[in-house]
Amino acid sequence: MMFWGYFKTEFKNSIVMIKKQAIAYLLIILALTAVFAAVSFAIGKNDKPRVKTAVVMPDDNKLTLMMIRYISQMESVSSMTEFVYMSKDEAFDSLDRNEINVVIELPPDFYENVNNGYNTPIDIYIRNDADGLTKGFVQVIKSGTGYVRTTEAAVYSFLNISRSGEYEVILQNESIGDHIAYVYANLLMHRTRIFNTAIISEFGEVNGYVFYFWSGFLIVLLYICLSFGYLYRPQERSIEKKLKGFNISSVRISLIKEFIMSIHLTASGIVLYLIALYAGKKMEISFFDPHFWHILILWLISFSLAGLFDMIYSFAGNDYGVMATLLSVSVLMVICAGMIIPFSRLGQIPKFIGYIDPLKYMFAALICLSNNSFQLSALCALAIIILVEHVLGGICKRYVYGF
Amino acid sequence: MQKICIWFLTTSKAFLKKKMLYITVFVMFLLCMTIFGLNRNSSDSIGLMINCNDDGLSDKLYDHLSKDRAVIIFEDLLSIQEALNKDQIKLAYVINKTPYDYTVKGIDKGVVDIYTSPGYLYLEVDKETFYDAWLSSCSDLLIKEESTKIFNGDGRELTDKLISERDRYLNSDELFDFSLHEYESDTYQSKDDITIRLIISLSIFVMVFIMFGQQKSGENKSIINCYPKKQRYAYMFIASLSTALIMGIAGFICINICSDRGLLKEAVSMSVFLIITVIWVYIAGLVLRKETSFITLCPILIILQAIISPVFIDLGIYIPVIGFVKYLFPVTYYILLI
Repeated sequence: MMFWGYFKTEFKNSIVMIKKQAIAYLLIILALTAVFAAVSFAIGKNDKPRVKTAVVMPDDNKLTLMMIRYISQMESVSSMTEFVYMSKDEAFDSLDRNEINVVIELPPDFYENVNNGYNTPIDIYIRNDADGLTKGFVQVIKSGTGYVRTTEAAVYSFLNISRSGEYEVILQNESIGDHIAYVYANLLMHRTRIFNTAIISEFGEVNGYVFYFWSGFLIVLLYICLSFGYLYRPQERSIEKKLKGFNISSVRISLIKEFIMSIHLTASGIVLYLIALYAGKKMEISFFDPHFWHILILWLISFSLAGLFDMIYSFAGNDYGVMATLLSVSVLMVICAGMIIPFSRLGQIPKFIGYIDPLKYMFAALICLSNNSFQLSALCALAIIILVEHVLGGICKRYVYGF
Repeated sequence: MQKICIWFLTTSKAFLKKKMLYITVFVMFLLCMTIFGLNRNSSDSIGLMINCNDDGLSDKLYDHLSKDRAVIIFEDLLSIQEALNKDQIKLAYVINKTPYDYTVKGIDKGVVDIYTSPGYLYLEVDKETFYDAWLSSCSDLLIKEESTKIFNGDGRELTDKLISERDRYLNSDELFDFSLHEYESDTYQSKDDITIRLIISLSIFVMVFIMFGQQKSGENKSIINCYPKKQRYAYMFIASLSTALIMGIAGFICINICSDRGLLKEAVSMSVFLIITVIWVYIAGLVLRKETSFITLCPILIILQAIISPVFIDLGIYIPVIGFVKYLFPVTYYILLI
């Protein structure tokens, strides 16, 4: 009777606290959403981050300038880079100050040389600490140069053989170059069609969107868990001590608190789940096929998260600074679970922590859920996590509070 | 002065007894080491598997792709998955169709399957690199196909002549090309360095912020309220300073393990950051009255500073006002201060 009474009181309290905190959290979520929306809008308006490229022309050749301007206005080029024209000294000073990312130095009489069939190489300079975007841009230039060289070589070889007069030419001599260039350009234009991409994680093949959705999902649930500190205030400890006098053990009290937390977490999880389904439908991304048993997995994950936080709160005691501990532990768990940086890329210590990180197994269960594979091993892992959390939580309580 | 010293020593002692200090410092070290080791231990190799009639295709692709990165040839998909999970390769290309299927039969769907790990950022760039190698491998067949449309003559001999002429051009300096040079900058700063700085500065900031909030709760509040108003603020400032100093020492050790910018430069930038942080938190503390406000605001400030500091993406480029707003937060100073 006392047990149910305590449960009802705590549940009512949690509703009151949620009402109190709801406005604050809603405002925070709205503010964050507004920031993200503004950023997305701004980024969307300005396309992607672009590489700043300084073009150095040793002569004021108008035709070279015209050619560079023409290239810089091509959509594929302008979406990646922004050209500025500078003297050699200005360009290297700016590169040194990290104000520009790439310097392209054209040789003298570049246009005349190209026009007369002499392809004098251009010089490209990047900083030794160039960022990934700049390195990627240079790699794209390399690939683009490769395309041009393959096409040029084919065009020139056909033209040379036709000029030699050894073979009878079906096409007109003037159109041979155009024809070969067209064949190569046509393939290049549709080059992306040949690729299929699959993302492989330690949980098997996953969809990139699904991987980062579940990762964000668990981070949001962790953030919500941080707001349950009120269940572990010093006054709650005295209530627990009194309840012990009525034969309600600390394990049962923990179970009540975890159950209350898990109800709120599952409710938030379902809201996120429905948002994902709706967004997936709108964006034509297949997140997962909804199933009723997904709710069971969500509840189990919420319950194990609640157990984890009960354990941490038990360990950290009623110290005000538990917030710093919780934040640190949450960040550590997120990193070691391989939810942001793939598990394969982590060092030895984070990997070792990852093997005992409950978040990793919760994440695995969520990935299985989106693959629609009901894995007994994932369920067993969750059950073991819940059991271990309770044993450790019990030990912590015994030694920290003497329960 | 004596009072200040006593305050400093007592608050430092109290802070050193807190479990959360050691947990936060441990997490800070571990995160920094993870970022530090991330690119150093990471392999940049790529995988290649031919899932169709090879006919010299693997050699051609291998020769082309291995100019920039190490290439590992795989026999089956399982070993590709294992290699990706052990971070032995960044991505793997599985070729399902031959150049004949692509150029002559015109099949362009499902030619290449790319397998990669989550969060790999250079997939689009690698697609371009691969297509360069693929086009070059298809070039012989394209020349053969087109020669029959352009010339009347012995197919085999003509194709051989065209291919040898093309190879002569490719090996000459008559085609368009570029030379890449690395510019040695005096202001070298690696991206890892900046990320490590962000982790350290956020850890210090969080600890100072939370410890300041603690002074407004429970027993601490009653102790502080015993002092006259002027001394109360001085005590709170000294307590924050001692927290910042202890965390600063831990951060200083950590950054010197991960970065080689020099002790003096690090000491100066750390000192400036600590002073700015303490003043910032002190001013925020005057505005925020309740301890719950500190708890609620803490995660938000972490996210906000991580977003607006120019570590992951410089938002100032897109929203000019952020270029100024970022200087309102202490973390920016530690990241940008040289």
